[in-house]
Amino acid sequence: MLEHFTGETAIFWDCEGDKVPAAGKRVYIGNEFCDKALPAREVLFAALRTCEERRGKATFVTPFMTEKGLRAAAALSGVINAMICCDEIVVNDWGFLSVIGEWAPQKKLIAGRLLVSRYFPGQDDEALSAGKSSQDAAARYLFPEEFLSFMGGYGVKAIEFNSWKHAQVASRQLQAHGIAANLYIPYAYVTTSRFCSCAHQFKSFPRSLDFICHKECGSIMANVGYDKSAAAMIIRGNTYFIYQHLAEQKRGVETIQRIIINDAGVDIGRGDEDKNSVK
Amino acid sequence: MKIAAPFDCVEEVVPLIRAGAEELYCGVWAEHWRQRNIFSNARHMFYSNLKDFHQLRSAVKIAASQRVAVFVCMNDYYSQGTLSLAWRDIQEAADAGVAGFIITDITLLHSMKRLAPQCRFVLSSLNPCFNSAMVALCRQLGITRIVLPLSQLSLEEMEGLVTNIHSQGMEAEAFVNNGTVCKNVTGFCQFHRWGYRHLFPSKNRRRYSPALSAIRRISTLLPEGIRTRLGQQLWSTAWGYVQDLVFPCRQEYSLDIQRRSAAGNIPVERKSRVCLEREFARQYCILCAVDTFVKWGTDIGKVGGRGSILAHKLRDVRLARQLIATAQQKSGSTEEFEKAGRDLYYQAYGVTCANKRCYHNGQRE
Repeated sequence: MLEHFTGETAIFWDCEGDKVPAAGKRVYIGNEFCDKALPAREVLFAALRTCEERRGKATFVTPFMTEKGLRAAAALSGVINAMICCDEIVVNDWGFLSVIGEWAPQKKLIAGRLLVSRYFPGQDDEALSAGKSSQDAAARYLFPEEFLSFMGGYGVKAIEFNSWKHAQVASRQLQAHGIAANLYIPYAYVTTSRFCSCAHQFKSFPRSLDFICHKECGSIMANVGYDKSAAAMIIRGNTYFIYQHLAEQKRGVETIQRIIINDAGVDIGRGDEDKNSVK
Repeated sequence: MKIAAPFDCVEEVVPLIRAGAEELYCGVWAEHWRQRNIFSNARHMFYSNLKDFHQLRSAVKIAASQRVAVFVCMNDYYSQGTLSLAWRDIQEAADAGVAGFIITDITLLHSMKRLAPQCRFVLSSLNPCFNSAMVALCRQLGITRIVLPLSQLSLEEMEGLVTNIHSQGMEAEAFVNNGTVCKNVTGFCQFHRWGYRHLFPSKNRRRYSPALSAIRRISTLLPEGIRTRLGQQLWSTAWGYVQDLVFPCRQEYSLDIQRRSAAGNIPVERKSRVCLEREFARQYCILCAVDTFVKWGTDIGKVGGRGSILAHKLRDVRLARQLIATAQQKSGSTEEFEKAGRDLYYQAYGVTCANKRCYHNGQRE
């Protein structure tokens, strides 16, 4: 798919790992699903400084947040405001969306997957097989105008898609509204929880929200295999991801502005160079 | 603390009110949705929705005679293709005299309020509210009540939210029945939204879906009460097991745990034949937290269970009513409440709660 794509690509960067991104690249820093995984102030500052030195751009990714997470994100807004290379913020929490415009007014806001993916219609197969027109079925992939107005009212300039199918149809609609469409590949999220699988060593129970997070998600993960399905799922941290096979996709990429390569941590600290090999 | 209970057909309204429900909520799956084979709300079962707005009007009339308010679930995400159907539902429900709507998509609130200016709007737990900024946003948009997310908050976090909700002049609603609680954030889960159905091919789904679709179509020919009871019984007995097989999250899987290293991923442990459903969902009981909810001044105790058989819903409502009454006895301590609660639990379910997992265990004052 990437060979047919002419837009921008970005990569998720584990800024606490050993690798640094290649010069001039856009990186995504942060986490969409866990406010415990937001980087510490010093770590974020060091990462953005590295990014700036390598003439790259950074997008700060934020998750859905409890009150504690909201305070942590507020504490990081000073760093983000100070670093010009960090010019975008991905928002996955409605409450955070309503306040971040005041905290970081110069940054471009992007609606994250958690705000958007629930508009992806369920039962699409049944609707299509019910004999309705293709236009009728396609309209079920499109956002309501109210949603787009609401997002525009909060200054959202781009929307991120979890599913290739959703992006393929809805990105054309966004283009008409001057909103960019970004797509995560190859891993789509499936479900997430505040009960972290990694922190609980992949044991189901007992469940507790009082666990101490040691950022185990940085060192362990799990592959989930289905006997009855070829779907490849992984668990990283508190989230299940599924692999989308997109190699054959050639059409529909022209309306997508950015592809974010999210390996969901299958490759550690994805980057192109080792920190020690500074040129 | 009022109790809000679900009803699936008009026949259930009076029994639920007599059991102690002071508010009722339901869904309506009208013809203009059925024609398109799309559900109007988040409960995708034919028997957990009223068939039309004529039935809704009957239910509202009966409830109103007992001064009980009825809310309608419009708690799905509507697209450009389905929005006109949703607007039609809101207008018809408002004309039927409902007190308000339980909604998920806050971006539609402005238009919803224009269609039904006399109605109240409740934020569903399917758009989970985790922080004060979201509470403030909801107030700004005109929401009057927030349902706290099920299972994803500690008691301390819930208390903070309830305090914040009240400070914003809104009502707080918390779940007060015992049942299966998924460990995932329901509002974010894609398994049940079927958005990734094409990624989870399943011979079980291929085997049973035609039969389930046929039952759904035949059900539209049955009288309402019979249709509802048939569906509820099917779900709770053998067909409940079958339906589990067609959900991707309830299949068996293998788990390969790996440790990441610079040299590549190192296998740590392999678990085979693990059922995802048993991993996610367990019988958790939150009833021992009812006295805490009462102390906080939580306004509504929500009994979940759209689609459950009436006997179960009545039992849950009665038990919630008894627990709230026990908690409201000011002289009672936490320990006395727990003891009384266990006794009431045994009376209601015929078993002790010893085998249940206490959701808020260890978090109580």
